[in-house]
Amino acid sequence: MLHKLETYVFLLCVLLSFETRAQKFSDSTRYLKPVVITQSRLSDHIIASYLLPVDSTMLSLASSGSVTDLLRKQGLGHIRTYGPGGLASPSFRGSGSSHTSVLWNGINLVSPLNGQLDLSLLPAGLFDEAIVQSGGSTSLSGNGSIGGNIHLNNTFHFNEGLRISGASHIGSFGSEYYDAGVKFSNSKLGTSTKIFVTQADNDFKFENRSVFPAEIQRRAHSAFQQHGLLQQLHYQTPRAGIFSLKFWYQDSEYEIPNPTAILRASEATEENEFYRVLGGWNFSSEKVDLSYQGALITQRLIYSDPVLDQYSDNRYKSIIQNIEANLDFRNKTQLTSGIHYTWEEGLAVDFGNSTPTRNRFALFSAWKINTLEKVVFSLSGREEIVNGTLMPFAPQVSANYQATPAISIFTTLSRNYRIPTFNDLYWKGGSTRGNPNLKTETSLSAEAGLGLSTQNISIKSVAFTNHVDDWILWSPINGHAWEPQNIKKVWSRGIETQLSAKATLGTVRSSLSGLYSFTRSTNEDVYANGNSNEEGKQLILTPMHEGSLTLEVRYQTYSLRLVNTYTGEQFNDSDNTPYNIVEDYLITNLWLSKVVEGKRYSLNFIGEVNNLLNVQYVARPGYPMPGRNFKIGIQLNFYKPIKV
Amino acid sequence: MNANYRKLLTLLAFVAVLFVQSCNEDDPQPVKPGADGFFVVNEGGYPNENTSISFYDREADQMTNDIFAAVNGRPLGLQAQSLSVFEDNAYIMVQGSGKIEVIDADEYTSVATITDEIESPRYFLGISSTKGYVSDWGVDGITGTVKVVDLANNRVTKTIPTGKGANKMLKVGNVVYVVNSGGYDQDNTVKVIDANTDAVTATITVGDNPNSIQRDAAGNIWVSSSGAVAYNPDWSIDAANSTKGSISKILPNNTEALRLEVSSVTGSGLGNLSISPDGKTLYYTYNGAVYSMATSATTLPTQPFISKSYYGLSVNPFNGNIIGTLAPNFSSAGSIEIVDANGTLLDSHTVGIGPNSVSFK
Repeated sequence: MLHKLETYVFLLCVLLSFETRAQKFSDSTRYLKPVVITQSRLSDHIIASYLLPVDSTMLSLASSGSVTDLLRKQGLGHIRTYGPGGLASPSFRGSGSSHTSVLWNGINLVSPLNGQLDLSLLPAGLFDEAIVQSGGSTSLSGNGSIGGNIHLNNTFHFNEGLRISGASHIGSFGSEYYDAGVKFSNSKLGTSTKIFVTQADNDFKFENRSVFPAEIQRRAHSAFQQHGLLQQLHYQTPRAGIFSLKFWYQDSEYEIPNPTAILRASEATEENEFYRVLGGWNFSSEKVDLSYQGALITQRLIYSDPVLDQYSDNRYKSIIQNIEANLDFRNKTQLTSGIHYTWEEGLAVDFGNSTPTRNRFALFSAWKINTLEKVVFSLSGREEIVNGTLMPFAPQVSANYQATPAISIFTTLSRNYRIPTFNDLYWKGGSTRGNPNLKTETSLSAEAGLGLSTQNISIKSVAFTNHVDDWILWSPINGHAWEPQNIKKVWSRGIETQLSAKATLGTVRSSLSGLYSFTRSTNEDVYANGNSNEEGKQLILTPMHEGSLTLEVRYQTYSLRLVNTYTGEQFNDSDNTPYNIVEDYLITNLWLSKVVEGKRYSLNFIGEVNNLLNVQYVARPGYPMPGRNFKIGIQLNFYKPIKV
Repeated sequence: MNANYRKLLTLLAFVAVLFVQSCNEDDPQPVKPGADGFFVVNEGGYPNENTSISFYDREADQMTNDIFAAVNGRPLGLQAQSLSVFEDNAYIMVQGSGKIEVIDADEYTSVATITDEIESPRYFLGISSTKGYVSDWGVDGITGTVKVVDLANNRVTKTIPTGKGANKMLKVGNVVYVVNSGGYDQDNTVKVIDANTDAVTATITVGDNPNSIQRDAAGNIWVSSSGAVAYNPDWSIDAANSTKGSISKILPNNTEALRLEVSSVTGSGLGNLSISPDGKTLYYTYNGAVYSMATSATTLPTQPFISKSYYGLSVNPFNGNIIGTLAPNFSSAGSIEIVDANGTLLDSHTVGIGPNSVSFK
């Protein structure tokens, strides 16, 4: 490993010493006005939401890691993680782990089995765009959007010619990442292929205080290996519109470590394999856009623990179809309406002999009104029928008032929901059983904010309140069996603020940006067999304070990014006993990069120091995080534009 | 650099100071060890490492929670099952972690952590100043054993196979009784071990899944068995394939003289068998209540002694008060209640999450 690192550093130095050719290649292709393919126009109606900033630099710097790394290292939202490479789920605005919808080009990737998506299974390098939206929006994003939304998109340009790319990154604890890609497009056809492979041992040192005297140990049985392919095909004709096909295959194998309090070594492993095929058609004319999307998703998750003699094979299949029409009236009003159909099937040993399936039809419509000079309104709604049962209506009203060119005021009111998962409904195993009579969780949410932006400074603040009712909680019902019930009521409220400032001093460009969120997310009701001490208390593992501060400095072809993320104290119980806490932590991450650009190529060198101050901390009890660690990488791009 | 920018930097500096300040808050509360009283074992909720030990100081009438972590500056681990005071030390069986934490019984400071050969420890029994027995379920929850621990160097020296879910133990002279509670399966035996040779000398059959054991004033052994409950596919109780909870009386010659069964099968079986200091009254929990029964009785009581669903039950060996633990759930604090021998509630105290038992110094 060390030998490899040395070779790598040497190579990096050699490459850095090459003469820099400062000629810009990118401008030469711009005048061809490539077409960008958009899948759904519903995102046009996000007019008054609180978006967390993910810029293209950030996406590029994080491309050798997962979406977990992308969000955690930049302090975007709260990520509940089981350590590096481990299961990670997002929580926005104090919501639960299954209250964020994660959409890939508009298609929901959240598993119908458990209502979650492990963000560590999403390689950040596969996406061209990431939009992180705090606050639920079921009318626009669909089922499960109660706390927030993550949109991961692939954009595509015609007429770009040939582009070949490759990347290679290695780092501490046996971490390696490689990818290779070929893209080609002319005025009619486009293809893009990207393959990647990544792995890590994650055998970092930590102090295990579960024994006396404490021992410095290496994290055992924590490795992972992941590889995948994303293939895209696009074809456009002036008459029939754009056809596109995306195919994403990925296989991941994980070792599941024990919490540090369990002293025997774990032998548990998990394998996750999925196929996601997405076909689409878009037709645009001056007034009407029509689009169709059809997706087939199959996923298999095998968990095995030879020590405890446990084995489970969990699979699901989904077919998703979406037909949408978008009407533009002189750029003053925009109406987007459509039908969304999902068929999903769950296959798990723990469903007994049954194979649950469900048909979900949803009608949605969104209307944006731009007729007033300074005000934009958006009204939207979604009505869904699941196996013949009507779901709660999910409306949303948004308004954005541009008081002056610098000042805007915005507000959104919405009702959101989450349908019970197959596990919630049909699980039969051990001493747990699903509850087929569960209702859909609903939430009522309101937010209002203020934006201020000048040329160099922008500030955005929002205050929110969100009541979640019929929250599904698994609890013991007769002293023996565990069963989910619609018993929890949670009220989340708080503020979120972001600011950024830019300054140029001579040839040095710098920017400073900060994020802060205050979240009170409390139990509002003591359910049957509950404990009255939990009423009004902050939810377990939900910090009240979180923030980040990012400094970015660019000088010629060099850039430096320094990010401090702060996660406040979290309670490790539901009645907020002062001694049951996860201590707060402040983590500093640093990136250094240099771009070498030629007429036909660009090379990007990235060095990364994570946890610069070597803070020893746990993201959750029993799951230590690595101390100071390093990563270096090269990204290569070769271009051959089309001559017109 | 304009004025706005400067203001902004000032604000950011201020925010940074707040961050740093908030990092320096919680120093652990100093714990003043109590001289006379009892420990409370709080299981905590899996997988959160929030199992803890509380101590009740009788003289000060004060409960101090989380004493292990406060004194030793580290968490106790996952799911402590029991604590036993023997000579100068307290032995904490941290079942979820697969370890034994040995602390000084007076100062609560760590003495040792025993991990080798320990898999899923349940209870500790002191045999001599250099020897202790630990019942252990095994990693799979069915390979029950008794581990022989050398107390001089805190190492396991021998493993005695006993039965599934080796649980509570009782020492009578040089003989040790171990009840096999079934673990993740089921069992119906009590093993008798010669504490001198560590050899199993007899097996006594009792009702299904025996969990607790006591010795009365007359020298008879009493065992409570929870019964084995089978469930129908819809999770209602399958009575035909279930067995009832029971109490067995074992004579000093290791024969079962009496087995008293409860009238019906219930989800929460019979357990927590305890005995009054005079060795004449038995207490046990069954179907959400506490029952009391004289050792001379030949039938089980029909009326509960306390109509409360205690998770754990103990009797104060000095004054005969009953101490019940209440665990409303495993995500927030539970409590203990002290009840006198007439059933009158005397006192209650908030403890940690999921209290399952108390043990006296």
